[in-house]
Amino acid sequence: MVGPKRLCLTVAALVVLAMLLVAAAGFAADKPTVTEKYEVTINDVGDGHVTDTITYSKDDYEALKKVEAKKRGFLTRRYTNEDTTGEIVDFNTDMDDATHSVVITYDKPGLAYSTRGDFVLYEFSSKPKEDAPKKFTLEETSTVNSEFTLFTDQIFKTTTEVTLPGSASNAKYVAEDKALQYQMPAAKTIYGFWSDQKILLTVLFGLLALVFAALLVFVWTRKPVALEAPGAPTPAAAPVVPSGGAEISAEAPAGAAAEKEHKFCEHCGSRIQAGKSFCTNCGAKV
Amino acid sequence: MSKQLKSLLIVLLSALVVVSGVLFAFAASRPGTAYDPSKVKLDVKLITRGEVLTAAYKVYGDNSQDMWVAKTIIKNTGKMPAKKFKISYKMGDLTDWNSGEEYAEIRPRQTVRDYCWPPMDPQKVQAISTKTPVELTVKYNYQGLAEPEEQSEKLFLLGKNDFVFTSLKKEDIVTFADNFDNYRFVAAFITPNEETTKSFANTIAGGLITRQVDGDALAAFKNAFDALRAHGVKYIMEPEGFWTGTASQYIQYPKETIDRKSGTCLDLAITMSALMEAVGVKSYVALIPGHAIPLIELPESGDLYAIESTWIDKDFAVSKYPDMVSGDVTASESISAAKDELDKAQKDGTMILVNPEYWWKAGVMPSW
Repeated sequence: MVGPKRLCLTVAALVVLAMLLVAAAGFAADKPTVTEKYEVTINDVGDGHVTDTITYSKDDYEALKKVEAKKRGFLTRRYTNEDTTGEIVDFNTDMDDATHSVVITYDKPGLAYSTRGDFVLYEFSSKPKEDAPKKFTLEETSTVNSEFTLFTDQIFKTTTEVTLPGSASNAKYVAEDKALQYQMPAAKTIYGFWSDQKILLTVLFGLLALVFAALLVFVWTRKPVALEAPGAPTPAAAPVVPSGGAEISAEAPAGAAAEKEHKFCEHCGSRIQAGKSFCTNCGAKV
Repeated sequence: MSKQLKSLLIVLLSALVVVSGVLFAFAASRPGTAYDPSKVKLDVKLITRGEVLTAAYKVYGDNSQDMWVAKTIIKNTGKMPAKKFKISYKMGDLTDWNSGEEYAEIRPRQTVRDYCWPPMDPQKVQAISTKTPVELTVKYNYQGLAEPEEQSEKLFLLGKNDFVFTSLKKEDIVTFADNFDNYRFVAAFITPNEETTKSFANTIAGGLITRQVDGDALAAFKNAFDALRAHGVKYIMEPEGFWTGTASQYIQYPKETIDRKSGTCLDLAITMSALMEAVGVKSYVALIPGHAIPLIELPESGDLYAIESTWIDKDFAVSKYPDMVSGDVTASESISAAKDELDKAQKDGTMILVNPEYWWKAGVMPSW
């Protein structure tokens, strides 16, 4: 059954396994409880930011660190395999010597599904508690046998904390789907204030433009009034004479200056038109 | 109104007219909040698996298994929500357009992950004997879009007998178990209800209460061994599934092993397991370095019994292990030899036990 290529592969795997077993021997000596804090923060469009902090005893942590140092990515290879292609962003692993913890952080766009309008977070084995508004907590204890335990059985005490976006409402646990479901305000465009208030602003500025235009016309058609110095005689305004010396027409604006041009017949008292040398009423010479 | 005041007012009012006119034009030209499909901007990316294990086609069609064939990542990069987004898939001529999923809306900045679990046509799948390319097409539409958009990607279906032991990248293989990361799919090859297998199994359990009595279950186990030998089944080395490019093997279904009267250690173990399941005895297949061994669990005591199924081929056993076997190479001798092998593998931590009943319940159904 075994070809030479596969035999080599198997032998190589066995060598690595032996290495792991040596490390695991210390690791599994007393099976301490491992604590895991799995924090998920969901934003307003369902993207998740995950921080997974797994804290070990000092000895277990050192054993794990030794293996990870020899085979970088050993712990997290399943986060970045074909199954998660296109799903995980900004993946990062950190080993914190001070707290003996492995800290994994990543973003998962679209972590919360929204097929029917509600947002849904799956994989809750039981009902989480709502410790604070929009914050749900679930505590579980399970036996884990994986890379994170160097393939020995370890008891994990996992606290899952999910923080929903501030505008989430009606969050509830759906047992049949093993899911946490919540609602968000209705979706809207994100063009901003001008689009949101388009009708109001269009009407407002349209009206303002009309009002200002009307005022402009009004002011434009007003005749300015010349200011007089107090007590000064009113200067006789010269008749407006178009170039070429033609007389001003009867439709010329009547004003105080034009009024001054009229004289009255000494004989009959009629008004004598400007420029006439005799009275048009009685014929007397002016 | 003085001339100066008039001029000032004219300038001021003119400015106000211009400013309010510009603001009016700006406000009027802004996109409104009303749904406008022409303003929807989606970034749609289709991702397919490189290779699909055809034998596990039922698993890929079951959305509870997390074994998608393809997925589409849809991100709304615009500022307008996409309403009534519908998406469906078609996998060459192996499937029709599936009913797909409908999303009430995809909000601006929102990302949606949609998975394709195609229910493949069993008849067409059965005809796939070698690695075969197939085009997977995704079709999507949303409210107001005149014509559905389509994208296609090519993927490969392995032959129905091809089994890739692990899908982990070579550099990610660290432990013995990593080499058998796909071990659960072995359960798909164990086909107790297939007609030839079922008929053959019925000949080994006549008069035995295999589901309830330890002795009868063990007797059926030995009978299966003897019946396969009597049928003329021989042990052969497997051809390499070279086209997969990874650690792989051509695995026969029990019907093929019975019909062809030959099989590898894994083929024989799978056949023994299928025969025992066909008569109601719980079975396992142990994968150890370079070898595979079938086991049964007795119904009363729960004791496990393994058997060296390659010794069905008496000539092979006698020639290869002359110091270990008698001339008859009995079933009992084969049980004893298998126990020693498994004890050693268990001690070394190099044994993986495939529990078909567990995996069938978990969705890795027999292929036929």
